[in-house]
Amino acid sequence: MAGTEHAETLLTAYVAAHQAGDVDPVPFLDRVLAEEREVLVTLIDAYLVQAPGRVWDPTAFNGTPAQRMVEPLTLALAGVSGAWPVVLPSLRNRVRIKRRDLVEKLATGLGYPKTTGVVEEYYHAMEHGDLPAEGVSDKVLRVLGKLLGTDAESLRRDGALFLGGSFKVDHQVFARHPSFPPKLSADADVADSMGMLSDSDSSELSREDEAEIDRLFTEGNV
Amino acid sequence: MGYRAKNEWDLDALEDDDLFEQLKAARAAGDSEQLKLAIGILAWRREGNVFARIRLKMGDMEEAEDLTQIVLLDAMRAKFDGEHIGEFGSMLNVITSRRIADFYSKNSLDTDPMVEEGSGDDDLWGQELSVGDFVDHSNSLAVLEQALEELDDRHRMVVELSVKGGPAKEVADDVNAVFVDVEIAMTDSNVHQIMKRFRDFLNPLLKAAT
Repeated sequence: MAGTEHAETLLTAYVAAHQAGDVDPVPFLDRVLAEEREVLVTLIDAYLVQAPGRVWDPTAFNGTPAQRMVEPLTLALAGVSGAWPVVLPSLRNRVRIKRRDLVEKLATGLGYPKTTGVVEEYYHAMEHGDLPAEGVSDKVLRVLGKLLGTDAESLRRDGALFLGGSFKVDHQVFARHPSFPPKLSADADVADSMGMLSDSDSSELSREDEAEIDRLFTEGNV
Repeated sequence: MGYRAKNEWDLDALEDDDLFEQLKAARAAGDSEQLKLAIGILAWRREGNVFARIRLKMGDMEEAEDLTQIVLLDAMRAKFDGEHIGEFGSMLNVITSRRIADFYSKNSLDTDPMVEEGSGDDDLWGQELSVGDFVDHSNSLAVLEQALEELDDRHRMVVELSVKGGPAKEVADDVNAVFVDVEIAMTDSNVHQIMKRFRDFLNPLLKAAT
């Protein structure tokens, strides 16, 4: 879309809007003459790199993108999964895949399609900064990378912990409760009859499959 | 010195780098409430400008929000890892430009050559520049900087103040206050004219660079 106004006029208009709290430049780009679009982009960019930040306003803050960032940023800084709480939801959004679908495909891609419930627990922990990134195997990251349009190496880098000393926030590291408690029969039906299984997927889940998923998500590449 | 939590207004009174130090201290002390508050204030302070810069190059609102969050995290990570050079705000600008460059897809526009406006004061724009001088620049801000260097001091000041958001009248007054020896005082209509001519000067340089 192209408009009819000159870049320098729209710079002035944008500055006024920005100072009033409306930061989105796109409506102004829609109003500029096509041949001056890049000039306007550059002038607004030059304004933004030195424009002061907002002064704290707790009322205005509520419901904004800035507020929505606090939780994932905190999970990334406070958790044990590096930047995954920020990066994984962002990648999911970009490839437009729902978490449930992703988890199903991840379980299938790992070769254990009946382990969706277990994989769901682990994936949830990854997005919430609860799963130690170093324990997640390359195989998981390779499959996940393919599904999310990235690669295992990038995901591994994103999962690296933040430096800057030890982190003392009382962060609960994820510890999954197995569907099959120790000393229980390996027969899933027994566990099921005792009410030990949490979802329908688990009714066909074998102890071996579950153990393999545990290993893939917690023991790195051993 | 021991760690001490601050209220939101004391946190807001801190410069970016000091606010980050408090955030880091809260993290080390295990004070999750202070950590969240410091992150919230830092995000509120910086998110809008980062988001706007990203929106200049990316059409999708949701993707722009996600990338903004990643930029803020990148900046915090660089601070935690001791990779940063200079102030937090400058680092944020560098990271934003880098992340935008990753996502940027060229959107060339076929346009007619610009028609020069005004005449008779070509010397204001310095020596004629070869478009070739700019082809190595992929960053439009670098092109802008180079274009500014071609202006005389008074006109450069006009453009710089205008880009900082100064109203034309204020820009003219500020320029006149600095260049007191100039016989003809700057007016707001001069400011508008200078900006118009700078736009026409910059436009082909940007096109050549991108």
